[in-house]
Amino acid sequence: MSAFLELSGLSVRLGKRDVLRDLRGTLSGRSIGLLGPNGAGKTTLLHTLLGFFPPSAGSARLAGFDVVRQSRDVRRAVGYMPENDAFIAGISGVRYVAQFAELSGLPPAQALERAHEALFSVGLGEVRYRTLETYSLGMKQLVKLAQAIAHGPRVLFLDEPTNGLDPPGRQRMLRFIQEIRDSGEIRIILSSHLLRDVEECCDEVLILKDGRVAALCNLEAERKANRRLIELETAGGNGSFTDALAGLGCSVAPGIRRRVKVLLPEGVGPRDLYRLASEQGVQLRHLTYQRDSLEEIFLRAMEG
Amino acid sequence: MTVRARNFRPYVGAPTSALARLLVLPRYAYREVFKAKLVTGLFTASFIVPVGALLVVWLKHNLAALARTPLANGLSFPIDERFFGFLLLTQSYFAFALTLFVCPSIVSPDLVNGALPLYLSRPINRWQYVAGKLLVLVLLLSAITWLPLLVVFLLEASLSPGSWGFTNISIAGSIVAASLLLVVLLSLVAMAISAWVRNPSIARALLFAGAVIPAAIGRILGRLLETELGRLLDLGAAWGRVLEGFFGIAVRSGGLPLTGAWLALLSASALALLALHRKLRAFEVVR
Repeated sequence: MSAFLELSGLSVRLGKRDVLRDLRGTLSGRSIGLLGPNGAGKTTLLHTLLGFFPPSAGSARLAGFDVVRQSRDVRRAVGYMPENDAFIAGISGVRYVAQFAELSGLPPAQALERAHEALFSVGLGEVRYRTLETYSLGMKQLVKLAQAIAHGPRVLFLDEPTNGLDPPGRQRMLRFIQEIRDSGEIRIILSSHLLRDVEECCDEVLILKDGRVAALCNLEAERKANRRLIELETAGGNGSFTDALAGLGCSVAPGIRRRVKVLLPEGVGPRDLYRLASEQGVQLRHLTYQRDSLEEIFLRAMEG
Repeated sequence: MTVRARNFRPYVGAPTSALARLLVLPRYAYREVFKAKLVTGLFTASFIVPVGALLVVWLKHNLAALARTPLANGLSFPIDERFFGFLLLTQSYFAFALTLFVCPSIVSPDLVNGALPLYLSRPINRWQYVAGKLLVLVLLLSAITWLPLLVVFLLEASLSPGSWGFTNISIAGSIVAASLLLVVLLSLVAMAISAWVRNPSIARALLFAGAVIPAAIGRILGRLLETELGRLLDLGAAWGRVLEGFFGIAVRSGGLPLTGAWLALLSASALALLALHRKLRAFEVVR
């Protein structure tokens, strides 16, 4: 897949503080997560990509556009859902969404039609004529999402999209982001300090720490690699099961209480393990895919 | 197909022009502005004087009609540059009142609720945003200043014998130039104050105070230092002096030098632009 976000020594200085320092990396995922503790520079990176802050050094390209020289093209391609409150007092949800769609370059009739669609999509269809001040916090998050998608952007910037949502609301929001991602029409850059949000929605992650790149990992590749690592708990048998596994070409690491970690070679799947266990008279009491979770990757990055 | 599925379609049509995007801001703003009955009432009242002027011009050229009215002797004044000067002076009070009520409600709501980053994440820049918001006031104030006055001028030109219109074309130029100066100055200063304080009510109070307090300070300075230059702080007086220059009418501008008055108005506009440059950013950087 071609590079979607290219960072070439990107640095941003705000006031007297270096907020982003020499960011380098190439990301090509459909959905990219920006992960890091508060103050790591995630939002500043989004704002720099949007042209709000000029880089003090280096450059960045998004969807093939230079974020400084082709800032207008970048902003035409992007739908942005900011972290903080961003609404206009006194106007209805549908006018709010339609106005921003028109500002993105849609003709009035198209903008209004898409505003209605976007509001129905995020579940605010019934309240779209209410003024924004009357919306709850969760509804305000959703209307921000609606204005970000209404004009049919190629790229969606989501800054802490689950902020302030209750658990059901958070689940709805994550499901919605997954649907957008799976539609294949919109690439997503999701900034969050919540590992679960990023893990559930992203296939590539850029981890930031103190304005630097702490890690860059392809979650999709990690997940595929993890599918080959299986943890087993066995009962019975005469102890030759691990030898038989090795005979299948598996790497085996014995653990405590008859647990073993098994790295499957290409062409060997869980079905082969069941067959082998049956042949050896061994009960498989537990079989799970090892999850080298994002949490572990994140913690390693933070320690580094 | 469900509504939800349709919604992820990218927009593949041609984007609207930069000018069309710029006009989105005034278009949406007017709907909000005219929701207030006070503004609608004030805007309507702003046409009383120009409509009256039209009637006067028409009556003066229809002696038979005029003879039937009690105004027969009262309309002996000429329709000249002083006539239009006083008309514009009257309209400038309406313009100030409209600005007072309209301007804070077109900028502050964007700033106080953090909507500015949303505007600036679109393919428009800060100055286009400012221009779009300025257009709200510029078009509104134009509609009550130079546009109706030009209509009065055209009526007089069409009813007058000979080439009155061509002979007095400078009046039309003065109407447009002086009006635009007023409109741009009022819009910039009001927007700057509104962007600075963010609260519409406080912005209104400040704008009103800005018209009264510097005038008072200027007069006090004038008394203490025995100079008229203190009145340069009084933008109303400076505007009056410029109006005198354009139309040769006597406004209570306190003997300000014309150059000083122009400098005061241009400095105020420059300061307002600087304030807008400082305040209208997607995000403020805390240094």
